[in-house]
Amino acid sequence: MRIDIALNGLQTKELTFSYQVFAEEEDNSMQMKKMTALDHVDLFIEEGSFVAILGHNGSGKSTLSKQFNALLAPDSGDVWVYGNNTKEEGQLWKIRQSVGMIFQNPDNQIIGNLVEEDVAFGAENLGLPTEEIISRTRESLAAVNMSEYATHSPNRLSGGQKQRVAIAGILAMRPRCIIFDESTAMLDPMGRKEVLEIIKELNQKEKITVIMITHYMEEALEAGHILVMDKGKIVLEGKPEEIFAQQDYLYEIGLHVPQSVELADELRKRGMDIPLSVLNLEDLLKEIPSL
Amino acid sequence: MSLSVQNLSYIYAKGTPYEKKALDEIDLEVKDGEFLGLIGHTGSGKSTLIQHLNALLKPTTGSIFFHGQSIYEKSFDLNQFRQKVGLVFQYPEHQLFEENVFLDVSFGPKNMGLSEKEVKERARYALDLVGLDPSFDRRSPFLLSGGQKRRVAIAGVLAMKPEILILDEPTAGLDPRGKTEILDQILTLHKTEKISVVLVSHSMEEIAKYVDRLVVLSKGKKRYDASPAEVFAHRQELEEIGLLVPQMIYIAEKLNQRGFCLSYDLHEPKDLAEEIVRQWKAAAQKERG
Repeated sequence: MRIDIALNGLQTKELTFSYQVFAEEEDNSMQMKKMTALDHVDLFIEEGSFVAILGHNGSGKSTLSKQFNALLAPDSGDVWVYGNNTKEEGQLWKIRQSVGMIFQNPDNQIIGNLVEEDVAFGAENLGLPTEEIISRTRESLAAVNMSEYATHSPNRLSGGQKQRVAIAGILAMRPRCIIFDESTAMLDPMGRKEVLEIIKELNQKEKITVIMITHYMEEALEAGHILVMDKGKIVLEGKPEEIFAQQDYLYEIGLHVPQSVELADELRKRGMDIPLSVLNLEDLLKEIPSL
Repeated sequence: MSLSVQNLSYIYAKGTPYEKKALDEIDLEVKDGEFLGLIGHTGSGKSTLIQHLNALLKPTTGSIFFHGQSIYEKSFDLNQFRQKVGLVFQYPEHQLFEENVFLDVSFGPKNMGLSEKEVKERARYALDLVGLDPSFDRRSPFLLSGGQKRRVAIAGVLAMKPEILILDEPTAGLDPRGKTEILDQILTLHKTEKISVVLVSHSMEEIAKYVDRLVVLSKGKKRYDASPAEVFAHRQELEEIGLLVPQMIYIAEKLNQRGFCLSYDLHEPKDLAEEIVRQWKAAAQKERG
């Protein structure tokens, strides 16, 4: 069978992956067991898109995202990152350079004594000339609105600022895609807003492909496309309005809909005419008549 | 009043160039049987304050009284105090260590010097409170889901039968269902066991839904101490100190500027929708009639 491999995006075919865990059997003995984390996942993420991945804890979201920069390799099936198969070891550097990751805890991702040193670290490891590293560091800090902190110590920044520094470090490596794995989970409301704004800008202005894993349903409204995972499979896929129209099913698999969507739905049920395309608070406010 | 903080200040790294006033003349009371919320942006002093409530930090100036007695007196039994005021840290599941769930929850009561029988009773009691039935007892805590792990960690504190339970962001990193389950369980044990709860959270929606009274910190100072509806009426001031109001209150405020008269107590979309439509229909009828 011939498979067409897309060069302009991330693609998986029959991707299956399981973890080995030490678990108790029915007879109380402890045995190594296979736990399937990804179950025949087929998907394609187009270059330049903004995709949110939703799913309850343990549904396979993070495992999937780690396949995209070859931190994990499939047990069976394939993952192609811009046409490069993650199983081929010779491609690892290329793949990891093109797909950057930002994790939950900013403190685990920062290593430099100064903000600019931290941002330069990844670019330095690419073996670039000094001038190039300096100019990339400067541009990356500007892209996350952190230029004025270049010579500050990272440990005195707020959580949102630290995450922005971590993002700048990835940007300096000029990735085509950035994966945000619950990157706002530890931030306060303003920090979350700051980071989300930057994520949107990177996608719109810099044309970077964004994959955002989140437990905040409100954040998923910003994405162009949503994937919903359950038990290692992709169970729903579509635009935000298509996904959040399936309230009952989402509740069944441990998710919610944003409160704004819930409110629109409740108003509709009570006879107010609110279009189905209305998802966020500001749009909803426009649809409610003044008294 | 069970726990009373009076005029408390705490200065980090005093006498060094990094000196910072983390808490600035805080007065706070945790009354018997109340569900108190504590909010503030990162660095506002929340964590420093709750570490004082559990006597993990000593204030630079000021005092704390537990049932009328100063906790800084020499004769005061701090060990017992820490059992009475249970503190659940952020990501408490990182502190799980035993080979099975039951042993992990037994650790606290065992260290209290209780008999084996009592330790077992306490562990069972605490696990029941967080909704983990005996089928979990012999399972490794490390192989549970995120929400289950967190419940084991909370049970470990509940096993010491605290009068006050302080939770630092108990829902961070959990999926929506996990969040609701944990908070509903905390609300239940607050009601049935009459435990006072102090909830620290970044989710304004959670705060609005669960707490009776809300304290807001900013730059180490107490800015508000009132009911959630009263506090959230100060949207602009809250935004200035890095906080947002719950989404339903945001909607209510905007609509009130356009002729509606909506209360800030309606934190469920269903309840707010009901009220919006009621007022909308009443206005339409008035126009016609």
